[in-house]
Amino acid sequence: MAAKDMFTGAKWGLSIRDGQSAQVGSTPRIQALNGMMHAERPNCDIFRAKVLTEVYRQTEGEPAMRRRYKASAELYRRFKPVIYDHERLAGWPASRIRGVQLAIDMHAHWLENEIDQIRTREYDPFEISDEDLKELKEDFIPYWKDKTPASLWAKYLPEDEIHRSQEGGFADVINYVASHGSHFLPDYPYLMEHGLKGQYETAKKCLEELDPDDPDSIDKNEFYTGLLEVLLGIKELAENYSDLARKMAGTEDDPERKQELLKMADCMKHVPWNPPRNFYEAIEIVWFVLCILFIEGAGPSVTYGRFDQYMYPFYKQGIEDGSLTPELAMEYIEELYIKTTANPWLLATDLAYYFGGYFRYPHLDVGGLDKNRRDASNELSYLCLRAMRYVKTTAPSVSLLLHQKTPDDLLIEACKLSAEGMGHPSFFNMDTLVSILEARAGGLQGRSPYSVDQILEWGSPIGCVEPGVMGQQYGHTDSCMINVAYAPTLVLTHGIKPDNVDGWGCGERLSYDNGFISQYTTFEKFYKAVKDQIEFAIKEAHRDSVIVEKIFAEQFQLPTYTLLLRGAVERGVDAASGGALCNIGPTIQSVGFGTLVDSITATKKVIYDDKEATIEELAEALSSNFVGYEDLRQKLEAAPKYGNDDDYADDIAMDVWKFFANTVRSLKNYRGGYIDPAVQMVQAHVGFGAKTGATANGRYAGRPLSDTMAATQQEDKSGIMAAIRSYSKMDYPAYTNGTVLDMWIKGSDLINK
Amino acid sequence: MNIRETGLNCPEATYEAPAYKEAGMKNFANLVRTMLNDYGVYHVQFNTINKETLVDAKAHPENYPTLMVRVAGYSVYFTDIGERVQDDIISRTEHTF
Repeated sequence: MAAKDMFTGAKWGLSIRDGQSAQVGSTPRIQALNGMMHAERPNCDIFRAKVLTEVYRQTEGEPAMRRRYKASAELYRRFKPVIYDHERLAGWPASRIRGVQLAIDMHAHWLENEIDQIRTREYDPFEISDEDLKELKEDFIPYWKDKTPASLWAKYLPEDEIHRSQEGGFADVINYVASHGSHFLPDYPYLMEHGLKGQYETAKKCLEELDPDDPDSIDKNEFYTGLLEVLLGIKELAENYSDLARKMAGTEDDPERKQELLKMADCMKHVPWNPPRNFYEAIEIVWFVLCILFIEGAGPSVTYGRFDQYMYPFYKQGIEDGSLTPELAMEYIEELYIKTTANPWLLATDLAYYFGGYFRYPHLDVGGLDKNRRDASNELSYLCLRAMRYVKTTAPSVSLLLHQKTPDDLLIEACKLSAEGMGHPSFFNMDTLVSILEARAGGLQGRSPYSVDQILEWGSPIGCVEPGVMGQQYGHTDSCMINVAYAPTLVLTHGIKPDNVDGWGCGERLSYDNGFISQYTTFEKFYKAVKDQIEFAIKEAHRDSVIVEKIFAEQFQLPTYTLLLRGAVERGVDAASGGALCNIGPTIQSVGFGTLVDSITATKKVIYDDKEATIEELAEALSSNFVGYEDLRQKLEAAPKYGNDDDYADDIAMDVWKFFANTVRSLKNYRGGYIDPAVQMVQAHVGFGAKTGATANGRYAGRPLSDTMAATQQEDKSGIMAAIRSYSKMDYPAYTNGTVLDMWIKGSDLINK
Repeated sequence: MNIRETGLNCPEATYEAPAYKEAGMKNFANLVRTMLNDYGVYHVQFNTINKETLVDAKAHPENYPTLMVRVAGYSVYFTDIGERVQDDIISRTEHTF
């Protein structure tokens, strides 16, 4: 096994990809840029750590917000721009291509133990120089290790709960606590209309109008004073790119490149401070904003949103005045895709296994409806899909927002991309997106603060699938994972984790003890106990994560995210503290849904309906991992399964689906909204599976759980139509943080190979 | 210029369109319409690499440096993910029309 494992993981993957790999694209420029990206290796930049440490040392004892805002302003002022060959879009979030700013204030606690392995680990290794490593170990890590959100959070919790909630494998909040500044749909529409100058003027006016006799003015004075400095810092950063481009143009021999550099200099002098004058400047804003958000924030899923909508006026204008062609627009889009892909996400080693492959979850959408409920697609919708076929990058996740009114041509264009086998695009249902957004953060009876116009015009998925409205929403959207598949087993082990699986706490308490197994004389009593276990996990994750939310709100402000929210400047409230119109998260996701459904169903069938074994025998079989119970295991495996349009299983699926969603939505967050549920979580079903004992669907301990909301692997045996009829029974709007469904269609059904 | 009708003029592109099967593509588009527009499913994404290819890529990764798969919500090079995750993707159900 060990020898084989050397040939998987990004460490191995990178060894077979270099500057010669994937030199693909619509033009030689794109082919060269793609090669440049593959020639580089993911690497850590300690610039952010250095500046942050310096600012924090100088400002000891000053208000938390003042320190954070000052740090962001300094980061932008002192960032040293680099412009590479072939580039037309200026900006990188780190000093090298494929660099990540090391968010020392988030990661110092785990880096302390793992920093020596960061260059060589199997999953997502990062390059870092010896000098930088030394500085981290001797200076930055010791300074920050007790100041990270995870360290502060641990002070609120009993020892066993700290381990349980990060490593136990039932209820887990680890992704939330280390990924602050994430999951965001910047207000690109605002920038396209006003530029950052608009926010500067607003902040200045608000500061001037503060009433010093109003007690609120104490915090607001800090807010506006700090924000103005951050805005000027961003302006200076853009101008530094402009100066560099002009300087490079001065020594450039190739006349064509010289012109490009001069054009870049002109562009960076103008945007993002002013609204863009053409397609080039508009797409530069799109990219530059991602860069600054990745300098300030540590997390994933900064999202381009409805790109074909806010970019279309510039496209149309360029085509009309002859300054743009579809081919040139597509070349810009391909450059954006390459640069977006070149942003790795740094995670602790445990998480790198769940989220492996460096992906930082950027996302770009096309299609959908406009605010008058007309089809919103345009030429750019097609170009964005086509560009991915040419450039073949992992990021951004390109999506089609599908509606009855979406033209068949556009759907076919998306299907053609899908048939090429890269996993792009995602298909989203626009009607369901609207229903979800109408209820988001509103709890069981409530409504979201969004108007229907806002939803139709700028509603968009974030990261994987999480619904949001551009510029109107802030909050982490994949915060807590609940391994629901564990619940039936834990009912029968008195809440104790079996000793034959991975992770912290074998033989320890993962959950509470429901009591004697002999009390489950009917299926209803057993099923109620399963739900009680799920509810226990949801509530524990909720309590743990709301503490994190409070720590973020009080001490980890996000000025750049704030000024990219509509109205947050006027409200005078930071994004982390509730400045958005809609403040969402921490969210709660279920993992292993199909395994859960099949386990409950098999128990109902074999134990209660057919009475082939007793519940005590099932408990024995599960704790022994079916040793001596192969006959029972096969009966469990033969029971009806979710994903076959069989109501015996699907009725349970519908009920427990709704139970999870309703339980989550009844809980409040720290900033005044309600918690939203989802079914998602990338490949967590593999990692959680390794920590999960045998389950009553006949699955052995340690095996993967079912993936996202899909049927258990190989159990959807009745064909694709039966599978989708099962999926059609679920209540999607109940999952106000979205659902992921992965399906697999045989490639040779679509393409002649 | 409307690319819906005319396509693109990229003489130096590396891109070669695959030989799409018309009936398969029609089935595929209809499936997506049915799932989303008729059945209300919120989101779906597809892996479309043949299973044999993934099995071969696991055995001979050096031949597949840029083979991408969908894990869940994101695309990644197949070689870059852990063996257990590779096995899980291969173990999913490959549907046919």
